[in-house]
Amino acid sequence: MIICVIPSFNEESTIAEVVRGVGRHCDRVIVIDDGSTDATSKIARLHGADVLRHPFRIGVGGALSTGFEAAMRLGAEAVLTIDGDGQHDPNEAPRLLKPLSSGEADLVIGSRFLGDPSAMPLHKRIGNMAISALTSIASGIRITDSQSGYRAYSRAVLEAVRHSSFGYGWASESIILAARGGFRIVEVPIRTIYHAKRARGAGVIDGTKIAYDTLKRIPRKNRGKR
Amino acid sequence: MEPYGILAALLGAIMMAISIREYLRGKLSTTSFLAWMAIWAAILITALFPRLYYSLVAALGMATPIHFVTTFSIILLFAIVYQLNKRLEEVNSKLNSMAREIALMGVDRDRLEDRPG
Repeated sequence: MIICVIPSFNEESTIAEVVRGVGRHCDRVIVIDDGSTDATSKIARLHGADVLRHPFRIGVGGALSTGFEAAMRLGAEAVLTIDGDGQHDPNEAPRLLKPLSSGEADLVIGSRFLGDPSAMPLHKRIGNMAISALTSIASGIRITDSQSGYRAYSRAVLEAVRHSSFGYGWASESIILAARGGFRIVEVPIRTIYHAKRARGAGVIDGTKIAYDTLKRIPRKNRGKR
Repeated sequence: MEPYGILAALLGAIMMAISIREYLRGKLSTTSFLAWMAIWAAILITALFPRLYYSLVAALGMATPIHFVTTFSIILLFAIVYQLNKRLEEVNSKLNSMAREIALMGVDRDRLEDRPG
């Protein structure tokens, strides 16, 4: 069974399309409503998703942890994660799920940098590239888009690896933990969709914190390399 | 005794009484109670026996009493802020875990209902 986990916070304008879109490629869709104050939960349910709701906002990393735990309890063999804000194309889900089903990978990351990232604002691109470089050093494998939330996980990865970050740090942390656990990680190109009016995501302070957290995970012998 | 000494002693005594009342009501942990009592007692003693305070300042090699007050007040405030911050992070972490548990209760209900995938 493939379960799609969608972390969301105040995504009432986009959640319906995302749920309907990934619903075509997954057996079950779980929306983790991270304390939204709008109609995200209601709309998601209306479009066929199961909704788990945090009573208040704890962060995207925490929402994903809840989603992973739920998916495991429900017997998922694979979990697809996608952002609820419409910045990922649900039609690309098969591209992420294929390396899992073919046994080629345990964790598949949709990389905007393997496609055309020009739609992403320059400062976000630079920040992402810097954090991806740090993540690559810490994990020992080349990662081009460590901050992508569009991913596919095998059950084995989720059984062995769980991130502890509640905030944006989950993205790099989970890659590093999976790589250290000996799991195969591959990236596949995805489209970059950027809604300027709805732009949220990690800011400068979040980015600095992620970079610092990732830096701490780099083994001493690898520091200064690359 | 100078008027400021009387004021400081009064303040120390009042805060001591409040701390004891809060402790007896179970609103202060023993550790916090002891820490605050030490602070109020230090204020009370220096207000009642200023000579002790001057001797301490001289023994520590500080030029004037104000150096003692500013230095140790800042150190004490940093220690309090550190403790508060630590406690806040612990509470935040527990709240986040509770939020996740509350959300996951829905999964167990869901599973019991055996809804189709």
